[in-house]
Amino acid sequence: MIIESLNIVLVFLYIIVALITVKITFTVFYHLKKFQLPGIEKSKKFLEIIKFVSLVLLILSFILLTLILI
Amino acid sequence: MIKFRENEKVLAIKRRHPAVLIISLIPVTIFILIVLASMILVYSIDIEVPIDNIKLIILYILSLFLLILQQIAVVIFINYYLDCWIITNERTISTELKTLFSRNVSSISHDKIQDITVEVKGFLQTFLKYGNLQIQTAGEFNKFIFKEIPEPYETKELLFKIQKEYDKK
Repeated sequence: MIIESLNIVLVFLYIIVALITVKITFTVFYHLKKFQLPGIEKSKKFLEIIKFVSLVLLILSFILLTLILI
Repeated sequence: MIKFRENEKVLAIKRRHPAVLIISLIPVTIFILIVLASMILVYSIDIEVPIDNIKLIILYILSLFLLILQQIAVVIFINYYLDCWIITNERTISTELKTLFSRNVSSISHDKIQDITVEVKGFLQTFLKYGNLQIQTAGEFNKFIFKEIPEPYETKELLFKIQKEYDKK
Protein backbone atom coordinates (compact mmCIF):
# COMPACT_ATOMS: atom_id res chain seq x y z
CA MET A 1 0.00 0.00 0.00
CA ILE A 2 2.79 2.42 1.01
CA ILE A 3 4.85 1.49 -2.04
CA GLU A 4 1.85 2.00 -4.35
CA SER A 5 1.20 5.44 -2.85
CA LEU A 6 4.89 6.31 -3.20
CA ASN A 7 4.83 5.26 -6.84
CA ILE A 8 1.80 7.45 -7.51
CA VAL A 9 3.56 10.41 -5.86
CA LEU A 10 6.70 9.82 -7.96
CA VAL A 11 4.69 9.64 -11.21
CA PHE A 12 2.75 12.75 -10.22
CA LEU A 13 6.02 14.58 -9.49
CA TYR A 14 7.38 13.63 -12.89
CA ILE A 15 4.26 14.89 -14.68
CA ILE A 16 4.37 18.22 -12.81
CA VAL A 17 8.09 18.82 -13.44
CA ALA A 18 7.81 17.74 -17.11
CA LEU A 19 4.87 20.12 -17.63
CA ILE A 20 6.79 23.00 -16.02
CA THR A 21 9.81 22.26 -18.23
CA VAL A 22 7.76 22.11 -21.42
CA LYS A 23 5.87 25.28 -20.49
CA ILE A 24 9.05 27.28 -19.75
CA THR A 25 10.81 26.03 -22.90
CA PHE A 26 7.84 26.93 -25.10
CA THR A 27 7.47 30.34 -23.46
CA VAL A 28 11.16 31.09 -24.00
CA PHE A 29 10.86 30.12 -27.67
CA TYR A 30 7.70 32.19 -28.02
CA HIS A 31 9.37 35.30 -26.57
CA LEU A 32 12.46 34.94 -28.72
CA LYS A 33 10.44 34.39 -31.88
CA LYS A 34 7.91 37.13 -31.23
CA PHE A 35 10.35 39.81 -30.15
CA GLN A 36 13.02 39.43 -32.76
CA LEU A 37 15.60 41.58 -31.09
CA PRO A 38 18.73 42.48 -33.02
CA GLY A 39 21.49 39.94 -32.43
CA ILE A 40 18.98 37.17 -31.70
CA GLU A 41 20.97 34.75 -33.89
CA LYS A 42 23.53 34.48 -31.09
CA SER A 43 20.91 32.97 -28.81
CA LYS A 44 20.13 30.09 -31.18
CA LYS A 45 23.06 28.02 -29.90
CA PHE A 46 22.00 28.71 -26.35
CA LEU A 47 18.46 27.57 -27.15
CA GLU A 48 19.75 24.34 -28.66
CA ILE A 49 21.72 23.67 -25.46
CA ILE A 50 18.61 24.37 -23.33
CA LYS A 51 16.55 21.98 -25.42
CA PHE A 52 19.23 19.29 -25.29
CA VAL A 53 19.83 19.53 -21.51
CA SER A 54 16.10 19.58 -20.75
CA LEU A 55 15.54 16.57 -22.98
CA VAL A 56 18.45 14.62 -21.45
CA LEU A 57 17.24 15.35 -17.91
CA LEU A 58 13.65 14.45 -18.78
CA ILE A 59 14.77 11.15 -20.34
CA LEU A 60 17.08 10.41 -17.37
CA SER A 61 14.24 11.04 -14.90
CA PHE A 62 11.89 8.91 -17.01
CA ILE A 63 14.37 6.00 -17.11
CA LEU A 64 14.86 6.22 -13.33
CA LEU A 65 11.09 6.35 -12.80
CA THR A 66 10.60 3.32 -15.03
CA LEU A 67 13.29 1.41 -13.10
CA ILE A 68 11.60 2.30 -9.80
CA LEU A 69 8.17 1.23 -11.04
CA ILE A 70 9.32 -2.10 -12.52
CA MET B 1 7.98 42.16 -32.51
CA ILE B 2 9.97 45.36 -32.84
CA LYS B 3 9.45 46.97 -36.22
CA PHE B 4 11.98 49.55 -37.19
CA ARG B 5 10.95 52.52 -39.27
CA GLU B 6 12.28 53.25 -42.70
CA ASN B 7 15.81 54.76 -42.54
CA GLU B 8 16.00 53.87 -38.84
CA LYS B 9 19.45 52.62 -37.89
CA VAL B 10 20.31 50.69 -34.75
CA LEU B 11 23.22 52.52 -33.10
CA ALA B 12 23.55 50.59 -29.85
CA ILE B 13 21.96 47.69 -28.01
CA LYS B 14 22.31 47.78 -24.26
CA ARG B 15 21.69 44.95 -21.85
CA ARG B 16 22.49 44.64 -18.17
CA HIS B 17 26.17 44.16 -17.37
CA PRO B 18 27.22 40.46 -17.58
CA ALA B 19 28.25 40.68 -13.91
CA VAL B 20 24.56 41.07 -13.01
CA LEU B 21 23.77 37.81 -14.81
CA ILE B 22 26.73 36.01 -13.22
CA ILE B 23 25.77 37.20 -9.71
CA SER B 24 22.16 36.05 -10.28
CA LEU B 25 23.34 32.65 -11.52
CA ILE B 26 25.79 31.95 -8.67
CA PRO B 27 23.22 30.53 -6.16
CA VAL B 28 21.62 28.32 -8.85
CA THR B 29 25.05 27.09 -9.99
CA ILE B 30 26.01 26.22 -6.39
CA PHE B 31 22.76 24.25 -5.97
CA ILE B 32 23.32 22.47 -9.31
CA LEU B 33 26.85 21.48 -8.23
CA ILE B 34 25.55 20.25 -4.85
CA VAL B 35 22.85 18.16 -6.58
CA LEU B 36 25.36 16.72 -9.09
CA ALA B 37 27.80 15.87 -6.28
CA SER B 38 24.97 14.24 -4.31
CA MET B 39 23.98 12.20 -7.38
CA ILE B 40 27.54 10.95 -7.84
CA LEU B 41 27.80 10.19 -4.10
CA VAL B 42 24.50 8.31 -4.00
CA TYR B 43 25.43 6.37 -7.13
CA SER B 44 28.88 5.41 -5.87
CA ILE B 45 28.20 4.39 -2.26
CA ASP B 46 26.51 1.18 -1.18
CA ILE B 47 23.52 1.79 1.03
CA GLU B 48 22.10 -1.12 2.93
CA VAL B 49 18.55 -0.23 3.82
CA PRO B 50 15.44 -2.39 4.00
CA ILE B 51 13.54 -0.30 1.43
CA ASP B 52 13.87 -1.49 -2.18
CA ASN B 53 15.08 0.93 -4.83
CA ILE B 54 16.00 3.62 -2.30
CA LYS B 55 19.07 4.54 -4.35
CA LEU B 56 16.97 4.89 -7.49
CA ILE B 57 14.32 6.94 -5.69
CA ILE B 58 16.95 9.37 -4.33
CA LEU B 59 18.59 9.64 -7.77
CA TYR B 60 15.19 10.21 -9.36
CA ILE B 61 14.25 13.00 -6.94
CA LEU B 62 17.68 14.60 -7.41
CA SER B 63 17.33 14.47 -11.20
CA LEU B 64 13.93 16.19 -10.96
CA PHE B 65 15.48 18.79 -8.68
CA LEU B 66 18.25 19.29 -11.25
CA LEU B 67 15.64 19.82 -13.94
CA ILE B 68 13.89 22.47 -11.84
CA LEU B 69 17.21 24.23 -11.16
CA GLN B 70 17.99 24.19 -14.88
CA GLN B 71 14.63 25.83 -15.59
CA ILE B 72 15.34 28.50 -12.95
CA ALA B 73 18.68 29.20 -14.67
CA VAL B 74 16.89 29.45 -18.03
CA VAL B 75 14.37 31.96 -16.63
CA ILE B 76 17.20 34.06 -15.13
CA PHE B 77 19.08 34.04 -18.45
CA ILE B 78 16.04 34.85 -20.55
CA ASN B 79 15.12 37.65 -18.15
CA TYR B 80 18.62 39.06 -18.68
CA TYR B 81 18.61 38.52 -22.44
CA LEU B 82 15.18 39.97 -23.19
CA ASP B 83 15.59 43.07 -21.06
CA CYS B 84 17.24 45.33 -23.55
CA TRP B 85 17.41 48.93 -24.61
CA ILE B 86 17.90 49.73 -28.26
CA ILE B 87 19.19 53.13 -29.30
CA THR B 88 18.45 54.07 -32.88
CA ASN B 89 19.03 57.32 -34.76
CA GLU B 90 15.35 58.23 -34.20
CA ARG B 91 14.30 56.83 -30.82
CA THR B 92 15.14 54.68 -27.84
CA ILE B 93 13.27 51.40 -27.42
CA SER B 94 12.93 49.54 -24.15
CA THR B 95 11.84 45.91 -23.96
CA GLU B 96 11.45 44.46 -20.50
CA LEU B 97 10.28 41.06 -19.35
CA LYS B 98 8.13 41.78 -16.31
CA THR B 99 7.31 38.16 -15.58
CA LEU B 100 7.67 35.09 -17.77
CA PHE B 101 4.28 35.83 -19.30
CA SER B 102 4.27 39.60 -19.28
CA ARG B 103 6.37 41.93 -21.38
CA ASN B 104 6.61 45.66 -21.71
CA VAL B 105 7.83 47.33 -24.90
CA SER B 106 7.99 51.11 -25.04
CA SER B 107 9.83 53.73 -27.03
CA ILE B 108 10.60 57.44 -26.85
CA SER B 109 11.59 59.80 -29.56
CA HIS B 110 14.88 61.62 -29.01
CA ASP B 111 13.17 65.02 -29.17
CA LYS B 112 11.19 64.18 -26.02
CA ILE B 113 14.29 63.65 -23.89
CA GLN B 114 14.57 66.41 -21.29
CA ASP B 115 17.31 65.17 -19.02
CA ILE B 116 19.61 62.17 -18.62
CA THR B 117 20.87 61.05 -15.23
CA VAL B 118 23.47 58.39 -14.52
CA GLU B 119 23.44 56.56 -11.19
CA VAL B 120 26.39 54.38 -10.20
CA LYS B 121 25.97 52.95 -6.71
CA GLY B 122 28.33 50.87 -4.61
CA PHE B 123 31.74 49.31 -4.97
CA LEU B 124 30.84 46.68 -7.58
CA GLN B 125 29.12 49.14 -9.92
CA THR B 126 32.01 51.62 -9.62
CA PHE B 127 34.66 48.94 -10.05
CA LEU B 128 32.98 47.19 -13.01
CA LYS B 129 31.72 50.45 -14.54
CA TYR B 130 28.00 49.84 -14.76
CA GLY B 131 24.92 51.56 -13.44
CA ASN B 132 21.48 52.95 -14.12
CA LEU B 133 20.79 55.57 -16.75
CA GLN B 134 17.58 57.47 -16.29
CA ILE B 135 15.95 59.46 -19.07
CA GLN B 136 13.51 62.14 -18.06
CA THR B 137 10.92 62.68 -20.77
CA ALA B 138 8.22 65.15 -21.53
CA GLY B 139 5.77 62.56 -22.72
CA GLU B 140 3.54 59.90 -21.26
CA PHE B 141 6.41 57.97 -19.70
CA ASN B 142 8.05 60.25 -17.19
CA LYS B 143 11.04 58.05 -16.60
CA PHE B 144 12.85 55.67 -18.86
CA ILE B 145 15.45 53.63 -17.01
CA PHE B 146 18.30 51.62 -18.52
CA LYS B 147 18.98 49.25 -15.65
CA GLU B 148 22.53 48.25 -14.71
CA ILE B 149 23.98 48.87 -18.17
CA PRO B 150 27.73 48.84 -18.84
CA GLU B 151 29.38 52.18 -19.56
CA PRO B 152 26.45 54.41 -18.59
CA TYR B 153 28.44 57.65 -19.01
CA GLU B 154 29.42 56.76 -22.58
CA THR B 155 25.77 55.88 -23.31
CA LYS B 156 24.70 59.25 -21.93
CA GLU B 157 27.15 61.00 -24.24
CA LEU B 158 25.90 58.92 -27.17
CA LEU B 159 22.30 59.88 -26.42
CA PHE B 160 23.19 63.57 -26.20
CA LYS B 161 25.07 63.34 -29.49
CA ILE B 162 22.14 61.62 -31.23
CA GLN B 163 19.74 64.15 -29.76
CA LYS B 164 21.81 67.03 -31.15
CA GLU B 165 21.92 65.41 -34.58
CA TYR B 166 18.18 64.72 -34.38
CA ASP B 167 17.48 68.37 -33.52
CA LYS B 168 19.51 69.57 -36.51
CA LYS B 169 17.21 67.70 -38.92
